[in-house]
Amino acid sequence: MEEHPVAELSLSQLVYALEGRLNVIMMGRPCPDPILHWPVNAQAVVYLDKTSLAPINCLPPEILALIPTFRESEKVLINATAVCKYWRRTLVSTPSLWNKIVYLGRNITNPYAYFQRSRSPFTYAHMPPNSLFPT
Amino acid sequence: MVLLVTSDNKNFVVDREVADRSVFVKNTLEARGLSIATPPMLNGGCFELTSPFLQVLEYCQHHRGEPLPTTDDANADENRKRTTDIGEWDRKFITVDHEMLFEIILAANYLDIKPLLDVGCKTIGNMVKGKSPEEVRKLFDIVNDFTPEEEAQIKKENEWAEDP
Repeated sequence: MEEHPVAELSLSQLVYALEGRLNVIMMGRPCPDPILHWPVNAQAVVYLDKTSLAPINCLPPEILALIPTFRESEKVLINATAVCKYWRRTLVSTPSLWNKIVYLGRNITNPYAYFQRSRSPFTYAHMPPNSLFPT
Repeated sequence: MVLLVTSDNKNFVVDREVADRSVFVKNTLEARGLSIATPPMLNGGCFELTSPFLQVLEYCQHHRGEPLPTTDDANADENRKRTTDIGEWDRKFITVDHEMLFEIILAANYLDIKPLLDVGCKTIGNMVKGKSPEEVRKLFDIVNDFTPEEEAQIKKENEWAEDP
């Protein structure tokens, strides 16, 4: 039997390639996540991150993304992006979570991530009176 | 009266008023002019079906006759999201183990019972509140699948987020 040379792709390379195609198809503006090293755009891809069989990760992305809409502190949202890849990619690729900073603490240093992930101009930012001039 | 059949073939006969808490069932009944709805709920996914459905029915029984939230009012939607408060009865109702909680949320999502979906998501939100990512992983038994480099970068990125 004749052997054909086959280029082997790792799973992550395959995902990257597929997502590149999806970006072209959907004409979406890619929203790069500098940490996971590939553009976060297509919702479909997040399913591949479900490496963990934790029961909570049976929740589909649209429900997972609903949880931090009830946040009382931005830290809930920020910390949730650091839990696992499935959570991170789901939340980072949900622009509506990032188009407002509702609960801003005194420490306003880097709303950059919000600007980038909301993929739109801000619609709302609530600043407590003492946040600009902390005592 | 309405007959509801779950996908594991259990029959439930409930009042129309109770069944109408589910927008999915309500629309199905109205569209077809029927009194039988077969929610293909949860289609076999990760969980068994009847026990969360019983819980959901209990919720619908308790809240029967209350006005359904209007979907077209954007302001009400904003207010709904602004608060993490859960009513007394709802809080007791939703005090269940994790898997049952997730099943109830999935069922509420499928059956389109927004207030119950909100209660479920707020409950998870309250569990997560004030916890570090590591504590959240421990709580829900989630495997940390970031590489050490990725984790270090995320930590650096998130340093600025301090509680007020």
